[in-house]
Amino acid sequence: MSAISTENLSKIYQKNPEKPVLDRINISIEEQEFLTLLGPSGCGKSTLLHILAGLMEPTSGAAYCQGERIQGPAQDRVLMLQEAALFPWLTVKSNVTFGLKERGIARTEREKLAQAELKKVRLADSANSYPHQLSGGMQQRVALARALVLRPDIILMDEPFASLDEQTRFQLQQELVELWQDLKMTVVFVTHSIREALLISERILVMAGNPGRIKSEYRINAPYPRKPGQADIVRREEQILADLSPSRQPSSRENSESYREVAAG
Amino acid sequence: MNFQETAKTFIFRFIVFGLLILIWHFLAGRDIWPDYLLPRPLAVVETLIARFQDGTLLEAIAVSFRRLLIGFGLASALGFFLGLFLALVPAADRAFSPFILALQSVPSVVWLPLALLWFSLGETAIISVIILGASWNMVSTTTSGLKNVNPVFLKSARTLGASKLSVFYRVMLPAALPHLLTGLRFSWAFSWRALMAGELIGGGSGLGQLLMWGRDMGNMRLVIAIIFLIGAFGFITDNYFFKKIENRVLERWGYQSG
Repeated sequence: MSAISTENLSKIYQKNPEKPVLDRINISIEEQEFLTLLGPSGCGKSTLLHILAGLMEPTSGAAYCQGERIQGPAQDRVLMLQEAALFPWLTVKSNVTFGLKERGIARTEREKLAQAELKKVRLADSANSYPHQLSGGMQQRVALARALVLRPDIILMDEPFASLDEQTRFQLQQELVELWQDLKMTVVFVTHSIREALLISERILVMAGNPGRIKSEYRINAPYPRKPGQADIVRREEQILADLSPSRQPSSRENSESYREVAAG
Repeated sequence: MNFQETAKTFIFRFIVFGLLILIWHFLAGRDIWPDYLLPRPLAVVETLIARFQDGTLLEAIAVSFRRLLIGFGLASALGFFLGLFLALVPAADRAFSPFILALQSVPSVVWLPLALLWFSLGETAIISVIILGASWNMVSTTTSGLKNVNPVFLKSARTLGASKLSVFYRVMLPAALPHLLTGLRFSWAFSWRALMAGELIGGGSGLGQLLMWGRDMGNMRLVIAIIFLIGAFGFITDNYFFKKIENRVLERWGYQSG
């Protein structure tokens, strides 16, 4: 059984019924797979992820998690956003225990679990700090710990590293891959960076916008850890870039600009 | 602000304040108005000390403060719950928000004739003037504070498994707290104003009544002394109580550096 699947899933906004944000999407994601949705801004990849998280409803069609129809958010399917969105009034530790408290786990147990999780993301020393005292990269690490402490079967990540500097970003990509291998979970990752997609994922679904759809699929078999300069990675990068190029995709100006952005990233 | 800057500002303000007192002193000595209409600063200070010593001022302050606390407490609570209701029921918000805005711009003294007719002279009339004067602002700050919580926090909470009730009291309320505190601070200032408006006409022995008594007796020294007290009280509670709490919360929330 697949971890996540969709069946003719469409999302149409009332104000723009001519152009569906998502047009009959059919995907299937395997258990413990690392899958990336890659595409320019406005292609609907983030909307798709929000629907999988249960935070949005499709207009038609359906999304399934382990065979069951997705009808709302759940702790086994946690979404991580581009902003770390840590609760500023809570310490780092209390942020990590946020979801555990919902489960009704006792305080001492919660704190033990949180501490262990913070250690995994190398932030054990910052447990009692407040979010605004941390750098952007550290905040994303806390957000990762806050999600992973729930041991979700699936983690959905919406461009979580997009606002970080190059070096921090590379580091977090490596750490994410290690955590994924370690915890045996399914990762659905959204990005507009081809390189990021190639460095971390087993499979890439390239999306296109207007209407939002899956355009092509790439399987990346290179072993981990991967490096940006690796020959096979570079070759794949060119291939996907050509695939995304505006000449093959007549579309609005706005879109072609974001393609260039992809090329630059 | 570091210590040196704080000290500089303080000294600067002290000098300006002293100059103003000096100007007043000389104006009062020029006999534009007779002494009982424009007393010298020193005479005002003497009255202040004498009235504190004989207990009239202390009693007036106590009476006013009690009314203020009751009125402010009721106004804030009422404002909060009404604001909460409007934030949770968008249809009600659409229907009522113009009225709330209109009521906000009604000066509290305008309620006084009504309050006097409904409740006759007394505590109830004065306290109802405070409630009518101070609630509306709290309603709109509560509503906007709750409605403007960063949607990213709500999304995160829901995806982490928080129920609707948890999202409300574990995320929405604390996220809106800085807003709510600002609301309380304004509510306090409005209450204080409404109280004075109410006391100028209502009965009893509060600060406002003492001020009116001073007017009737032609005792401008007492009137000016009370005006000073009213200003000082407002300034001190706002700056050294509400602002302090607000700043601490903003700092903790990371919206403002320490």
